[in-house]
Amino acid sequence: MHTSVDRRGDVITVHVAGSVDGLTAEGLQQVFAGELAARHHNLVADLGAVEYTSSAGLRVLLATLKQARSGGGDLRLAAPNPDVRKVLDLSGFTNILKVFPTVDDAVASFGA
Amino acid sequence: MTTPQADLESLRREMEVARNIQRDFLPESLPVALGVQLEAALHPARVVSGDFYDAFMLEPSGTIVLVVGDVCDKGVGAALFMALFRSLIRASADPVGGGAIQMIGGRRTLVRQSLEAATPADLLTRVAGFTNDYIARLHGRTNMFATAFLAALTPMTGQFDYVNAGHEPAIVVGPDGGTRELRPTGPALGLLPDQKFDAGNGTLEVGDCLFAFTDGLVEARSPAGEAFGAERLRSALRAHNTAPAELVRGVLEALQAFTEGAEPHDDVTLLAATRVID
Repeated sequence: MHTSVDRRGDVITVHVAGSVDGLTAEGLQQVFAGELAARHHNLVADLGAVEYTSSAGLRVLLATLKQARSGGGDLRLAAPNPDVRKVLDLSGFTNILKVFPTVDDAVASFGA
Repeated sequence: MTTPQADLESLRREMEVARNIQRDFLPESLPVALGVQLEAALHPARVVSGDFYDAFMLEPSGTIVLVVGDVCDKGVGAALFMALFRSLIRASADPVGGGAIQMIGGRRTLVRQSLEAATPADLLTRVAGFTNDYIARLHGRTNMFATAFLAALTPMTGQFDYVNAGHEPAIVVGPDGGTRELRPTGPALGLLPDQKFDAGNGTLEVGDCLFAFTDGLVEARSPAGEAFGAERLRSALRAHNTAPAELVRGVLEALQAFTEGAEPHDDVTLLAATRVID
């Protein structure tokens, strides 16, 4: 798994690529924690290049979502592939957070 | 002074103790009832497991509650929460176990209602809601959650209610190989407080098997990296008689043949309940 980060206005997008599992989830957690520590609370996780996520990856999303909301922001997801989308739907994560088809849509949603 | 080897040995013993204690959080035996046969298996990927299953009978109704759960992530953290989730579900469904019935003046008397539920469907949705809120409110900082499939089955009629909390769909497989999926009726337990859980229902005809499992089964990989998947599971279910022991053994054999004995990367749990003529 690897990540890159970019910023548009006050929205930070974390682009995630590869597999998020028990071994790599902590690295992803640290990326989000760094942004939250810098008081960046409007976050987008670009899942377009994520092939697979285990429950360890979902746990990182849950932790980040709760911290972003407690800081007055949100975590929104963009572009999950059908397999990842299925995991998000099944576990009920799509009931508790917003998923957008593209990064542009997710970023724009913060301005709406 | 301890050597690294002695430290390692000490840690290994501690983990062995944890494994033995954890076994005690699984039922020692499965309920025996006229009209239904049960079988279960749990294969941990590591020394301790985040998966769990449970099966117990509610008195005086004779309803059998079936549970398969999967705590997020793996290892010791998941194992600690496995004990908590399992206990919350069991205790809220059946607050004092078999002791809910006491002999008072020589008569069997119900002394406490399980969460004062009117119907099995109410019971399951309340158990899911209670467990969800307990974890989300008291342990929210850990961000731990579990997916779980809960069912309440009346052995004599085959009627069942279920709550699927963000879990892999359980499957009802008939003797003719026909299948029905029991898909999620609510989110995983513990994500956020005040989530809504609905109940579904169905009937097991004689010969039908209710088969619940954790994602370690369908996500197990072959040496080439391919996942076992829902289709192979369905084929394995169809290839066997729906007698629960045969079904569980058949699925595990199909899994082993597919993974060629590779180290499992996740816990695998199976629970089968088949309606039989008595």
